[in-house]
Amino acid sequence: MNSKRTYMPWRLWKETFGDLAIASLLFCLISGVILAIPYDIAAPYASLSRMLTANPYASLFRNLHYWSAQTFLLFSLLHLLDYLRQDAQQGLRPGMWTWLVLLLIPILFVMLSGFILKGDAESLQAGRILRSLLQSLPLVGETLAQAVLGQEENLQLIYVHHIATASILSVAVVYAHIRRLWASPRVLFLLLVLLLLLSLSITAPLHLPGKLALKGPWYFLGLQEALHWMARPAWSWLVAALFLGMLYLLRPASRRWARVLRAALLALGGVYLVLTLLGFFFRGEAWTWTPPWSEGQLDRINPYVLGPVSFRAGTSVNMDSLRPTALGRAESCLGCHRGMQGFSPAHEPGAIGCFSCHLGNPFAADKDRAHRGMLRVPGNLDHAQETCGRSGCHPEITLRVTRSIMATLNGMVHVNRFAFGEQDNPDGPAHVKDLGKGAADSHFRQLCASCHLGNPKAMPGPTDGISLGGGCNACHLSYSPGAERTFTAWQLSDSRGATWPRLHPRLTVDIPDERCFACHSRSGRISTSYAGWHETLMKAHEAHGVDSLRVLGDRRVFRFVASDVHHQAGMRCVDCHLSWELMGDGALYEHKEQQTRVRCGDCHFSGPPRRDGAPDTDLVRIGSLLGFDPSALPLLATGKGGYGMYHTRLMPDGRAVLLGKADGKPRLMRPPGPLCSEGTVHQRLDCATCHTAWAPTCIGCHNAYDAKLTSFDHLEGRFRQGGWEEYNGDFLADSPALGMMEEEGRIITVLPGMVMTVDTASWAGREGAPLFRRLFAPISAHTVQRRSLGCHECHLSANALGFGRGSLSLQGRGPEARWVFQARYASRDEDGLPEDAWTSFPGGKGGESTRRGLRPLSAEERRRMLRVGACLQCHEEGSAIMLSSLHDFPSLLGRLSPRCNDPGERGGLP
Amino acid sequence: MISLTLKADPDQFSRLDRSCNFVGSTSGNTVVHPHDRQGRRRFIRYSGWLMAAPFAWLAWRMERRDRGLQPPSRVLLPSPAADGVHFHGEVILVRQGGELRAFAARCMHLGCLIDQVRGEELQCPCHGSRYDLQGQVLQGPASGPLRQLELSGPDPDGRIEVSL
Ligand code: FES
Repeated sequence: MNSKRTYMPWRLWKETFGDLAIASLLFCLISGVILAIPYDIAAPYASLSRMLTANPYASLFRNLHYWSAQTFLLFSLLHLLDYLRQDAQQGLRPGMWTWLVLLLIPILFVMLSGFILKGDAESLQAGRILRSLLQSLPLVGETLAQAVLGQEENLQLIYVHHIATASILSVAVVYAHIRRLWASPRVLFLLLVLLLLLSLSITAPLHLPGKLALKGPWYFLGLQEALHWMARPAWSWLVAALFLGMLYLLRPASRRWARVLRAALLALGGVYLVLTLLGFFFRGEAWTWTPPWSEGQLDRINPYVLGPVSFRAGTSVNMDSLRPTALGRAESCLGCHRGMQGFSPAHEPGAIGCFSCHLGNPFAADKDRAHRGMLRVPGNLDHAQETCGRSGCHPEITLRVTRSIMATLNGMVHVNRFAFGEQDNPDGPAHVKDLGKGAADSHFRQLCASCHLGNPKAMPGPTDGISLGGGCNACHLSYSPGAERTFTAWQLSDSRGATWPRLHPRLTVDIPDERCFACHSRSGRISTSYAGWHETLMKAHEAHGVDSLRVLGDRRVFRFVASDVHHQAGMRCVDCHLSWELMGDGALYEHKEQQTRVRCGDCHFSGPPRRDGAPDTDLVRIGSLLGFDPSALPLLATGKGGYGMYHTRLMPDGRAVLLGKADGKPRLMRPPGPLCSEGTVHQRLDCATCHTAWAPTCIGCHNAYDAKLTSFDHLEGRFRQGGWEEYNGDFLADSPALGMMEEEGRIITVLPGMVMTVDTASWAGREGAPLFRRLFAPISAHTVQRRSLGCHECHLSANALGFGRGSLSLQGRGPEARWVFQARYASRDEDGLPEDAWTSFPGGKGGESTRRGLRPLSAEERRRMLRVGACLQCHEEGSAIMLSSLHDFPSLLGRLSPRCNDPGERGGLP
Repeated sequence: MISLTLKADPDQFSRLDRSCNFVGSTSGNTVVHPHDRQGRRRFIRYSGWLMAAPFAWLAWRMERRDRGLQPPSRVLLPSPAADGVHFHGEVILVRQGGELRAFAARCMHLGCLIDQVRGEELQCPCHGSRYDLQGQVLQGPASGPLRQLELSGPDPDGRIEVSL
């Protein structure tokens, strides 16, 4: 025999695929035995995450186990291919070939069970799929599934089969095949180097909690893709059986048939390879078709973490980072961010970890990898589904919020387009995110689009009067004084080198008014008005040292007028407003009043109270968090929607109290006064019509476009050339006017929301007269006073009737008497109406509003009001005769004295 | 007397077996006719299988019994206050227009746990089946609707009971 062998590299490889497979099996067995020490079958996910985060040695052995398993499978398949290429199976005993073909089953099982034993989301789904596939086998399915997988959601039996049954079977067949379990030292050495290189630089996969793309192991991606197309997955068994059958037949088949079979097997393998590539590269979340070049897909499909195993990780470990969270995983974050405090119990790191809100990589043991993809400011709505809204946390609420009016700004978008003459009504579905580039939308982008919940907050830190948006955190994140102090100190230290602030802001359902203030100090200005402050046109420096003036963070100056009676009683915004109206109920509304639930009459009722059996689960949860006893009944319920108000109590004597959500102090809820509830004449009035002390009223605004201006586009977060400028005329704190909401048949308060000129010509870059609009808008001014307006403040008020400010008097006597109106403001050229009027005196012109169905009082309604006004010229408001008019005004008119100056039904009015 | 010792490798052994159909081994001084030997082996093999059969039957009964011993499970869940989809592990609660339905969260294709909703569609993460909020299939591979579960309540604490 010639002992000198010729060196043939391709032959060397050919001969060693089997050897490499054996060597891989050896390394896999040894690393598996070692890995069993830190692996915990009772908490697999937690134990693996603990290895990744804090035990680099265990992590290395896990990587070795993983990579040796992959090379074992790969080299076994190559070995098989090699056999087929050479027709080497012909040289085997028939029994041995059968065993080897069957060996593919335990090999694949041992691989798949290893995948399942990770215990993460995709492993558990893989286990469920395997169970269903086994169960789909006729007759023996159920029993087989039970015998292989054991109890549902329990990995114990799979573990047994992984480490014993399938492994022993594989080893036994391999041994029977080649009568050894050893590879040449050279192969062992080469493979060890390869495995070490792989294990030190690529971490074996562990599914990241928020990742919505769930994929099986790479060798089953072809099957996963095939199953996507198979309504009857049991057929996959037929394909598998066909494959194994053809493989088996290769040996007994004649040469000609063997060639055919080989070609068929190769074709089948080719198809499987294509399916695998499709499954790996082209499938995203929920197995949707997502090409690899689409945004984020490469991150989604890559199950590996690249980068060297960090042995320094062990040095920064503390016990916090080892304790698994309630979600069943350990996170590396607390290795560095140890001792963080300030959380509410539900959001403690021990409960939900850090990853649930901040993302990043909770299993990476070094800072850079851990912080990759991290959110410094969670809660923004574009990420809310991955953070606050992740499955198991608050998914339904997040969905509600994203559809709520504070996130869509639906009404504002349409009213603005309507005011700009771009649509002929103020309604329709819209979302601030979908604003276009027209005149109205560019105006909105620049002047209004910062105030919505979807506006992302980019920098951490307390929200103040000028920080807007921020999604869930806009309302729910609260900095304690200590947290604010440590944050500021950290910030002043240039955020470098200094210790990260240990006091974390708290997520809470206890919402102070400041949270609402940032946005609601603008437009309708309900937050400032509630506290009694009215915006002026003064400059900030003019307010210096004046007590009755207040300068906000954005330099606007406010003057104190009178605060809302509820504010005086120490009530917060959330004492009236419930979660269902603040976060929405999941429906898309066109205007804010449609989403609002609470009405004054829910608390200030006359007659029997509206009660509910119990508050709903949402309110019970919030109520319990705020320290209320949800079982303390009976409670009041809102008239609209019937939501039980957990912070109200109905007392045995029939009176009702409201307990402050912040202070728990009881506040007696008084019934409406006699003027409101006596008779039927005032029943159509909203409480606000008589109890609004004042409302912020702008008169004579102008909007012009200046192409030379640089403006900020709040939607895109960048500066643009050209911008809109607003010019204000007068800014009054005055009583609102009255309007009729036809659909509900209610009289409400309205303001000259948009009496203005819009210079659309300058936007279009041409000469031309600006567009003039006279639109009144509904207002809930939030300046409620206990005392109601005097009767004459409506019945003799030109402003209340919609004619604008000025004097309204009856001139002449008896049937000849005529109502005469002297306007305070000059008439506008465009429509001949005074600046602040909604409708012309005595009627006919104007009357447009920002709501469909909202109109000024009709001629008849005005006549009726003024007829009472005529009586009020002589009779005192509280007089017996005026009080009796509440019950039967027509009979009073039948008993007029000759001294009465009744102008009759018309009084000169149309 | 024929005394034959085979020390070749298994593959050679098998080849010989195939070509000559003449297999034997030394066994002291006793010579056994190969046909007798094969017959005995076959007998041992078959009786081995026969002996295993009752145990297999017993194991099968044991498994059936064990499966029957799993108590039917019921879960108490908070009654959802809002319309929408609420995932509770094995149960999906859907409230629409105030009407409440419970579905098993297992996809009818291959049993994956469904825990994602996009708009008005329940999505299976594994192979992309989609269901509407009535549980009907909007897109395969699943071919049947989600299994609707019986529910009762809510109890005074606002919880509903769902039988799995
Ligand atoms: S298991 Fe749901 S689509 Fe396959």
